[in-house]
Amino acid sequence: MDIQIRGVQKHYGSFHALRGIDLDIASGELLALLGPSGSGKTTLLRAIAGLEPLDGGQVKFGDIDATGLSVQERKVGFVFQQYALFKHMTVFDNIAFGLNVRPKKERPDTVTINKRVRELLELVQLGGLEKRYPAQLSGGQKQRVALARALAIEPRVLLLDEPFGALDAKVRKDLRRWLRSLHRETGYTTIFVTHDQEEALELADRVVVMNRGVIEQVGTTDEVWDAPSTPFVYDFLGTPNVLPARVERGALLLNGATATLATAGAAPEGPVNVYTRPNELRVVGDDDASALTGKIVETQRTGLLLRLGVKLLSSGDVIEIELPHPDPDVQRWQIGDGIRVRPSRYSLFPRAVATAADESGYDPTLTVTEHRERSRT
Amino acid sequence: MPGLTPTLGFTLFYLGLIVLIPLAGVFFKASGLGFAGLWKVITSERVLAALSLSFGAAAIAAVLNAVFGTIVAWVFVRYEFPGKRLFDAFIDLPFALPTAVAGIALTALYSENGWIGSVLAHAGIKVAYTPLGIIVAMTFIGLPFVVRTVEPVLREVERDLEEAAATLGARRWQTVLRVIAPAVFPSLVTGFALSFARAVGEYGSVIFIAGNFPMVSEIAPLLIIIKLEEFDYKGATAVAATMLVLSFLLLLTINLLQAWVRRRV
Repeated sequence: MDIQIRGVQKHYGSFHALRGIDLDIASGELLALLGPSGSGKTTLLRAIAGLEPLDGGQVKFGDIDATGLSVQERKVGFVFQQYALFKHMTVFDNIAFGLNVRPKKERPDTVTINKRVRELLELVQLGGLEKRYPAQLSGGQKQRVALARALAIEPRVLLLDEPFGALDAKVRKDLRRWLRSLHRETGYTTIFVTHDQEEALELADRVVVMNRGVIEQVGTTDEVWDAPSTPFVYDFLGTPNVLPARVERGALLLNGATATLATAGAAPEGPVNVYTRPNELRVVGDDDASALTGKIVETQRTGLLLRLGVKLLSSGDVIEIELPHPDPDVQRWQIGDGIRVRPSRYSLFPRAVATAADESGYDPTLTVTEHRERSRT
Repeated sequence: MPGLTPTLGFTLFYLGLIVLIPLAGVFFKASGLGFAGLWKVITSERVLAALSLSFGAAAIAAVLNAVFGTIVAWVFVRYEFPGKRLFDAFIDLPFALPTAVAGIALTALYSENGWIGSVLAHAGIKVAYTPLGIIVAMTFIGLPFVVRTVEPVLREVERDLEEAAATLGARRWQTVLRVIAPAVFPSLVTGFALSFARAVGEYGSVIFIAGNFPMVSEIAPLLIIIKLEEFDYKGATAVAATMLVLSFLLLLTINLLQAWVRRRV
């Protein structure tokens, strides 16, 4: 089922957790909400589930306006970060819970429930463990029980809050792959929240990058990675170098260079910041006047990559360059060597833009959960 | 297991010194009556009435506390309201109050010219100097036991669990019944047992409000004192020993029940 989110607003006291979110999710899509803590990603997920009442905006499941529907009526499968399994129930009873609490008229008979639970156990590869209690399961198994329990009600949409957050790295990787194939098998529209960019990019069809209650960018892995639309997305998906420059009559002049570079598309006139990743900088010869001169202050080799710290002559800032496999025949870079570099791929953003950080009510030392708790009391 | 011998040794020694030896003294003294004599004392009408009153009233009080104590704990855990800290401190008062003070205060309140007693008297309900008064006193002194045992467990029940139940379609009452109640039940049993045990042994606050009419509102601990004052030491210890055995059996049953419940959680 497709989901439409329009102008969704949420406050916790003076903290503005969601600032007018618009988002369309296609039926059967696997979507990641990615962002740092406090970005509003979990709040948005909970708002879709109906666990957070909205201050404004609309949530639609297909043609159904879900905004006024209760959590129960929304029929969403929600998987919690800490699993939230019922400890006093067996795996079987946990999975059957959503069927057992239905009103008598809609409740399937025992035979059907039995059959359904067993199918789900097979689906999440936990056949034979139905008599166990949650305390007797590993973290990964608990997570899969939570998933089976959510799927038992045949939800309109599957929502996962940091589904792998509490698991160790190895189990995480396995579960990720498994979730991907499960999604392919079942076809449920699935939204998951994560702060792990690798997880989001590897797993999702599309990634929604969030920051401070707004969506910074929505796109496929390639789109988000290759064309970050804001400085935040750049920063969040890596450690870019930021070079001060000017755009004059459509040409880009790096501060400290004497020749201009071409600008792709419509560049903002005036002072700009050039965002470029360490691997997008090229070492060039003395004849390239558009390049920047610097001095190597740090070298570090990791596997097939050579990382250089370069102190720019013009500003004194240290930027980072990543070069592919150092060929023994090529020049060996030493600390103290002079070097000239030029960005091969880059994005321009106007300098000195006011950021959302200036707005009131934002306390970076508080997580959203804390804001949520505070506003409750 | 390292350290088992000294720690177990210490535990048994301490338990023996503080608990078992004095209790054994009761049985030793009571055994002076011989079995027939003992039986005669216990089955006398007045003793039976006192015992059933003590245990019956304590059971009713513990049930009341289990119900209302849980509600109080729920309110304290889930809601914020002005003066919460103050009310929180009030809960513990029955712990700290000298029992005689509680008894005098309750009697003053519930006697026929007291604030509550006068109102109830209009409705034809007499509290002070009746078994009902005993239940009131026992409920008063037992409340903190339930509140303080249930409260931390209730606090532990994660909101996640309730939210999970709601997303799965459970109505509120189904969540309370199927998710919250089973999590809280073991601690509720503990609170019930503590409240019950305290009520069975309660003396100070009860004797003021009870009226202490033999066969009607005379509790077993008071009967023991009366027998002592009549220099009937053996009779007194016979009643005491009976209370001990009954209390022990009840608490053992409750503990076993609890262990059984815990194993399922």
